[in-house]
Amino acid sequence: MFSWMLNPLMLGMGGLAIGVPILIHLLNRRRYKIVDWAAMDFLLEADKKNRRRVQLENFLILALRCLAMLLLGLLLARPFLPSAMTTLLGQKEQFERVLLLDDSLSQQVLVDNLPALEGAKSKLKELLTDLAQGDASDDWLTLFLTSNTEQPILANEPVTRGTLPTLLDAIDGIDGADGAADYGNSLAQVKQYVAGQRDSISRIVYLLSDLRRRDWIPEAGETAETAPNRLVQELGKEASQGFVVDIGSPSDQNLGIVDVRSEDLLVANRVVRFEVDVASFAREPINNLKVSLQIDEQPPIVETLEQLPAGGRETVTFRYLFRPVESERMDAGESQVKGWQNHRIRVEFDRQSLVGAQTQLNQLLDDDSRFFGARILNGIPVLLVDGDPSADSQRSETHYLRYLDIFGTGLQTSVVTISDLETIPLADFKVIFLCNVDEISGDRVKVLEQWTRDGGAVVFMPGNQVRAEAFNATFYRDGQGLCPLQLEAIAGDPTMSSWVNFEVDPQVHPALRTVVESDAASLGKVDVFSWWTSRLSETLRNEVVVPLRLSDENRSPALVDRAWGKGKVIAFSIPADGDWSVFPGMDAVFVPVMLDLIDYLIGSGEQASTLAIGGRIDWPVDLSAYQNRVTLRDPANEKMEVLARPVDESPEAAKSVIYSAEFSGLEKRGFYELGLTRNSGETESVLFAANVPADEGRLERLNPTELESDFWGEKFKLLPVSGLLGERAEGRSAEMWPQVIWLLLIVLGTEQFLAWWFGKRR
Amino acid sequence: MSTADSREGQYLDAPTLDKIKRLDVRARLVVEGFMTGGHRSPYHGFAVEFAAHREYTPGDDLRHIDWKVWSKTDRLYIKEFEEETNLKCHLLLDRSKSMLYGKANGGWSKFDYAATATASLAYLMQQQQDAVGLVTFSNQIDRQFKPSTHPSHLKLLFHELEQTSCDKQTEVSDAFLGLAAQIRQRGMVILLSDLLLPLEDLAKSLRQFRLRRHEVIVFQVMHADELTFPFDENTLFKGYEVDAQLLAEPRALRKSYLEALDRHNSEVRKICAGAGIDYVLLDTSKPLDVALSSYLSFRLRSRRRLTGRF
Repeated sequence: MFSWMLNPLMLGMGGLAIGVPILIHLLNRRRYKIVDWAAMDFLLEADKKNRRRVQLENFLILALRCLAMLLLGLLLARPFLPSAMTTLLGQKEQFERVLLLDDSLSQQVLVDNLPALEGAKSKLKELLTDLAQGDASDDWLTLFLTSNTEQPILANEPVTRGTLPTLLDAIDGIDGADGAADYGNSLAQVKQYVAGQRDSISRIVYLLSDLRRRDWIPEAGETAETAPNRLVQELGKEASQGFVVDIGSPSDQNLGIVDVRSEDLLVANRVVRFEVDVASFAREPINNLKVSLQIDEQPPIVETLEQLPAGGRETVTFRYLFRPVESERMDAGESQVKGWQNHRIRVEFDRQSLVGAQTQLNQLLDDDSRFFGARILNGIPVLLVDGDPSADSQRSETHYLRYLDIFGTGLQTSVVTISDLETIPLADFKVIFLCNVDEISGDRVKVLEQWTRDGGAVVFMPGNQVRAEAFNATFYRDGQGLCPLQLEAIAGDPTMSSWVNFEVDPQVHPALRTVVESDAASLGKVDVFSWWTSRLSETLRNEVVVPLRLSDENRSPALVDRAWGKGKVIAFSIPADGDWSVFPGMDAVFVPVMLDLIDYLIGSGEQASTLAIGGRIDWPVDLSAYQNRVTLRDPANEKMEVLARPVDESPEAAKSVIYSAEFSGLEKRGFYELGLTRNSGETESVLFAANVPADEGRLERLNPTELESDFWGEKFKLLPVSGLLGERAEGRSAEMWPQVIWLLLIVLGTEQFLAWWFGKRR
Repeated sequence: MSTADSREGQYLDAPTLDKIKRLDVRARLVVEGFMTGGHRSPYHGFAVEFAAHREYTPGDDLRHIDWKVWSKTDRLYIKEFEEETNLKCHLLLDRSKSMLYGKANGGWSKFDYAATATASLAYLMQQQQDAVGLVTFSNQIDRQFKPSTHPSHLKLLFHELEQTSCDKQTEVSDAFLGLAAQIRQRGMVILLSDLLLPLEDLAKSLRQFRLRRHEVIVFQVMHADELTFPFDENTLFKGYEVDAQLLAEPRALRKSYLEALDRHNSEVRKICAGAGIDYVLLDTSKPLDVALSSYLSFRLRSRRRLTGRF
């Protein structure tokens, strides 16, 4: 009997609670007044006449009260009738079928020459057609996709002949996503939905999955409680029945391009290397696999991977020299910028190189290619701010730096004065050298700091025009400013009779690597006659690297490196001209150091252009150079537009000229092109590439022992997709609490009525 | 314990006395031919007052025919005479345990009420120069004071009332039988009791007095609780005179109790009516002065109606 109750313990409590009215009755009988009575005979006569009736009335009311207690216990025990019985009672079975369909990339694997997703859709349509036999709504449908965790694509739709065409159209419209499935999120969403629905209807949950191990087994760092199979077990408590429908293919071997990257600076006039990782999720080795790299519409470059071991991963390297844009034919309709040029790079392996049975080793075709959005700098725009301009160019602060833009370096230098710095758009540059500059306006300092924070690089090279006080007030600001060094005084011998030399830190900085590797002693031969002494803020000691010092008694810092947001700041203690040292004049040392320094400051541009599917783009927009309207064209050539907004809610952000344009929910794989418009009206574009997760190609399935055991709990059964139609759904057992409540109300009402009626007669 | 003097007026309720003292209670004795030939009236010095006419029936004494009426109307009528004499009134006061009810709540018990009525009636008698006596009874005649008109007799009676306590059960048949035999001269017998006793005993007792041609008035004294049974909560009723107790829900018994009481009282009224006895129910919650004066007024009106007919 107790198996017909959800909380049988409550019935026991109700049984105990029967004693309450009895106890109250007995306690009441112990409480009485005492009256000495004269007319006792009449009383005894009355008692004799009424005794039985009164006893019966009291017993009846007591019995009703005890029954009410029992019914209350029964109510809390939540009794139910199995659905078979409720149908016998004439209650119609009503079902809501809640489906979660895995529409991730792995569903493109072919099953009987059809992508798994299409097979699943077909079976689903058959099921709906079968259910929609009647006009009365006995069945409802709710359909979730793993690619959309926000809301179901069909929510509680009745399944009837009338609604069937709409439902079938909705299913036909499922295209499949390029991303991976997040089963944890999706199952949590389904569970929340099912738990939030009313209990009077039976709910059957179908999980249509290709049973890939990577989807079901928690990754490192994921706790067992949030593992997808645990969520299914909990979902089983909310549903009356559940099915895990296997819509995948048993074959699980695959090859894929899992990564494309470049660690080189992507600059024109420099050879750029692209490294392509090819992974095997197969159980046999592959030989002589051809891998091609195609840049835009040019003929692909092909390399051959001699051997790809089973389950292994190999890298193929491609080299290419991009020309500056002036020397390239402009494609019609493509706008190019003086800053960079966009190139769409597609890498894939040649399926034709898989022969015979080897084709079975590659079940998923959609990961055979990968995209890379290369933003090739036409040159590296470097701004040189001359704080001590001179008619004699050789005496100018920027003389030696200007000549760094030799062929092959990719550098494009521009020289301005301090006053020009106040107005020039900083977004046009990657590196800014402040040569002998000690003071700019407070607003410009803020712009400079924000520009650096967004990825720019500043190099301080103070000389004899710098006033320490002004410099410190503008750029050091008690350790809060860009420059980590607080300038104190000019030290050394202006007569150049004595000098000090550079000392290199044993941990060789990237800016010094080429020089140190070629001639380790060369930096030690640079004579420095005068230099700025400085103090490094205590609070910054852990943030700052000092790769180069002077050999004076204080071992003063000669070169200091610190990070500032996404950007970097370099501070020298000597100027860029030859007034204080022979450093700029020693080409063999100065040029490689400065080129390496600039390479280091620029960093690699690759990470910024690669997106994960489902990711977002946050692009900084300098309103002093660009309009705030930003567009994005997706791989399907559909266009979105947003307005750039302040980076955060702070008042400073609202006043800043640097805003941010945000795009999210980027679900397609391929190229995204961000469109900017300059204030002058010229357009620019920034290229991104979105790729599928590298792991999506791992098609390994759950092993049979996991499928047989209680992996999904008691409620969920494993079904092949062919069995979807044949499975008879069992409704949830109908809870009886409404009936019990009615009975309780009737009992209480009768008790109250009888109590009043008997009292009235007395 | 208060002194006799201070308690002398305990049962002399001033408002009651004030209401009834102007009324005279005349015993209505219908005397038929008590003045028989050859016997002098034993009642010396008292007038025999004409009371009323009644039609002549064969066999009546011709000496009592009113010839004046005959001469006027040609119809024969017999003169009836009311003997105005000193009334001898016997006040019978029930002092059984059941008369104690009402004391517990701090109010008047039935005995207090009855004693007050007794005192008031005694006082009234004395005012009228009538002799009044007192008999207290329970299951026997406990104390008896023969009727007297002596001024100090009243004080004696009041004192007795104040000293009387209520105990024992009610058992009247034998007691009253003896009492009836003792009271030879016709007079008035006023019974003040709650009448919670077997009705056969009561009927027999009252009959004894009526056989001796006494005028009997029955004052049944009952407490308001006994008349209305107002109890609601669970109550344990313990009998005063009956060794019984009952734990009951009063509301469940109220109707039947009142029916039983009503039957009893109806029977009492029937017994009294059948014996030509005036019956008055005294509710202890009602003011005594109102109850008594109401009854006495009724008696006065009845007497005038009879005497003023012709």
